[in-house]
Amino acid sequence: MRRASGALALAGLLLAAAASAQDHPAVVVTDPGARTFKAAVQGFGDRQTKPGPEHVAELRQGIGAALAGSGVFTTIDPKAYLGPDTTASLDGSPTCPDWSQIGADALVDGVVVSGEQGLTVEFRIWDVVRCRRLLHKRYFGDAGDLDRVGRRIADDVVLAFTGQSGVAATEIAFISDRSGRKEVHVMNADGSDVRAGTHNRSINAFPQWSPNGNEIVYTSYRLGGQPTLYLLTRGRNQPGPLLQRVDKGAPIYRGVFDPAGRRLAFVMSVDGAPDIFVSAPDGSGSRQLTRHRSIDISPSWSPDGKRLAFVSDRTGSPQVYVMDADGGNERRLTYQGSYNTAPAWSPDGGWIAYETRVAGQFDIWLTDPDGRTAVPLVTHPRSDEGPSWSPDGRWLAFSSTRRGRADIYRIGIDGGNLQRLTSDAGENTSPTWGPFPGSR
Amino acid sequence: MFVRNANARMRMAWVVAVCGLALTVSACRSKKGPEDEGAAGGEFGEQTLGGDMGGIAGRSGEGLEAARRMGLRTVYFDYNDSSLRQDGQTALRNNYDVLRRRSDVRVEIQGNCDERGSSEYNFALGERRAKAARDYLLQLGLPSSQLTTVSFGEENPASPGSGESAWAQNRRADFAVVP
Repeated sequence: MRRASGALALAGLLLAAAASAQDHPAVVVTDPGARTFKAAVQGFGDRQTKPGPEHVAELRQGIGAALAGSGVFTTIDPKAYLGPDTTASLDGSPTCPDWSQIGADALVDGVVVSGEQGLTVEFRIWDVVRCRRLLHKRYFGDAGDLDRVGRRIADDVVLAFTGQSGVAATEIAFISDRSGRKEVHVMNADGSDVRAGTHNRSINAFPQWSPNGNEIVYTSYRLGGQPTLYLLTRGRNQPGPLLQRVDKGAPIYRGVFDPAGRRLAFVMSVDGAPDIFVSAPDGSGSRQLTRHRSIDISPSWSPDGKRLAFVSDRTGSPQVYVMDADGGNERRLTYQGSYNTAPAWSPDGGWIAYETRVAGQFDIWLTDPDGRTAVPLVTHPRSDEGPSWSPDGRWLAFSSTRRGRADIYRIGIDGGNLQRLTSDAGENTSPTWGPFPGSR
Repeated sequence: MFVRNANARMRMAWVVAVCGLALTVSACRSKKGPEDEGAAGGEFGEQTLGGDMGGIAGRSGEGLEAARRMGLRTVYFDYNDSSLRQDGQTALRNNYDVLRRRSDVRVEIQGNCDERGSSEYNFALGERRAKAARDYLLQLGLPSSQLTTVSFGEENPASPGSGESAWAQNRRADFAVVP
């Protein structure tokens, strides 16, 4: 009931935003339930001996599952196909009426070819209603990359039909204590393939992606003393340097790359209470943005890198504020409730998600960056915390104790399509959604 | 695993993307040929450093025990609050008496929170609690050279459960002797 009212309130807000478009920045919220396309995915023609036909079958299944998870597509059962089940060749065009007649909007055909450099997956995406080829593309990899290739293809299909890529090939970093200690973990955005990123048996917190997805900043007590920041890098088995030019005596609680990856906003406590600083990743050019005896934490960059949302308890309770990236123009956004934290600025700039305390537990709300309107998104009676946006802006990841232990969930920003992503073990918290793989 | 990824990454390096991703798709509709891209990932996975600590409990377990044996007491707090209650002030006057006679001992005051609320805010709140205890001891006249502070936020609960009785045990400033 409460969630339904939240979704309605959001819909109402969108109407209001449209009505006042003259004086309000356009807020475009894609409603995943508004338009659902149907896709037919052919079995990919097999032009190789390894990894064997079953892997090619898995590729088709992977594309179908990723499309179904997009919230934008459903797939058509191959038994209903009038056209061929499997791609014979990529020469020429498919017989479009065979596909449009069974209700398909999209057709994916493709072949897998092995060569001396590994596997090539060549495929095409067709708008079968207009009989137009929307994309013709090849992915290179090896057998171990086929799962990822299937996700990439599904995301390409979503892009071709909606103008915005899907997120099946993106990853979510989070903190889990399933090993007995709080370590950084990474999983696919559908919750599959959870793997540990750190193994330092200390306390680790607040993973944050670099914009190209190749690194994760995290906070750790791994070397004793005060907590500070470390850099986890793909393919490297030791943490990289960060903030070398900043005095490491003071505790640093969290770091966040700006959208260009050139600056780091970080939370450091130099004289009794944490403040927000910005510097180059090596710590040079450090600049203190907040100067309060209060707690100033949780910086979140606007997508243009010009502003930061953050949390301050300068009025006696933690509230969400925004300021310019040089510390000017501070402005309070939240006035409802006595505990509003964890702001997360949406990729299109139109929203800031945050967590708010209601009757002793926590809900997730959205506000616009001017603080004019605030609407609930997740209002389960148990706690929902730590929102993080998907790079397409269609989803939020968060952690929830609705089943007792904390698990990571994702929800469409219309309030639908709730999915639990973790279920294995331990407490799973602090999700941060990584960028599109094409950013690397 | 790393070998495969290393190969895949090299392969990715020589693959030249004919067209960018995202909104340039229309530019790739020409009949010239397919758009190319490497699909390889690359895993995150750090190994343990030689100098790593065995977690917070491993780091301070002996220090906490030593403090307990000396008669140093834990200070407890109300929810979302860092002000010293009457019982907290009593505990700190006790700790002042102990530490005043042991000027050779240095202690780390460890601020902690219950699990509720933003974990980042709780790091800050834990720091505030540790500093409140430290400031009180300084006011009583203890030299600052005997005291350091650290916050563990909500990450190091004394009682693992949920519910007010566990939470009350977890909103605290512990004393640990620094070796």
